[in-house]
Amino acid sequence: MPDSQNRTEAKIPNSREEFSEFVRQHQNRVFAFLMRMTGNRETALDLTQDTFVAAYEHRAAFRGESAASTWLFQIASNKAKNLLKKLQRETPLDDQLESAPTASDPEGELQQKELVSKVREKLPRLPEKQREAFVLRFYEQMKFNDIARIQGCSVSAAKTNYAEALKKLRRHLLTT
Amino acid sequence: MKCKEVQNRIDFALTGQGVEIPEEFRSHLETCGACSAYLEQIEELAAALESQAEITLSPEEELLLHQEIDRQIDASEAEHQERTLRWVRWIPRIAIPAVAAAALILTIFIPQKSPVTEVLNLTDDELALVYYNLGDIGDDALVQKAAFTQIAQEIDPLDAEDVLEGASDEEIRWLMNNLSMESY
Repeated sequence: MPDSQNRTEAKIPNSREEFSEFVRQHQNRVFAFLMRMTGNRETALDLTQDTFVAAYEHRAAFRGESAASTWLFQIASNKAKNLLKKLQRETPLDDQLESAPTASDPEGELQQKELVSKVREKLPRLPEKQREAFVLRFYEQMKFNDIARIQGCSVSAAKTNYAEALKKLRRHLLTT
Repeated sequence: MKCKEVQNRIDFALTGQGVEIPEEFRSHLETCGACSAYLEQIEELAAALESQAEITLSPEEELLLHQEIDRQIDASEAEHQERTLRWVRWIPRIAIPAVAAAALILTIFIPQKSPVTEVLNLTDDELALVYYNLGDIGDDALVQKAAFTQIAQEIDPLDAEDVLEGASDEEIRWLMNNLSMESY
């Protein structure tokens, strides 16, 4: 579990200097989440900027009811949602995913690469809510009540979104 | 133990850190081919997903991110300041006519109250003088005072000022305008 996930800030820093430090603490997780949601590095970077600017502007609204990271992911999720809605596409710009680096695995590299590309191909094509629940659970190791808070739904709906995503990924792996 | 239940637990046990199977399911997995195959598939999937190396910002992207955040916050704060200043500039234009209008409305519509704040009771001698000239005019101290003032003025205008000792000119005017001897 990422270190910053356990940190529950009581408030978002007011001073610009402290806020820069806050950005540094969370930037990679927010960026990775948006990258996985949009599939496009440039778009993810733009949305990461927008997320932190919005967090600073609305810092007074954060009451510490959840971890600051959960609140940030909530903003990031809305930013991604708005953009995807605007672009009117369910599947992100997955061509950018090809450039994402992979861990080296000399043994059985070919088979592993094939498997990885299969998964990569499918993950960005999952419906937005399912993809989001899966990314937050799998990559961010978030609890389902935090995922539900981010998605603005019930815990059972968040679990369903996650389970559906997993089912589709598994089927894709078996059938292709 | 049902296979569906076990597979469901496998699904929810999966995170980026692997699949942690609870102890009570292990014996079932050892004997059930379908469930152990299912676990294998999920582990394979997890390995494929995990092999997508960690996504991080490059140093150039990080620099750009911080510059852009600073620029956008500066712009937003400048805009906010400008909006506030715009309001401040509007205050004299709005507030002065508003206060003038409110004052006018208050002057027109709110009935004027008596400016008399304090009425000193007449002495027994003064009251006797009033009763002698006008008969019983009641217990109202203000009326008694006004009546006495009027009588005093008729006797000697200079005495009248002494009678309403402590009353302002405005109070005396009000008494004179609002009370007359004829009304008693």
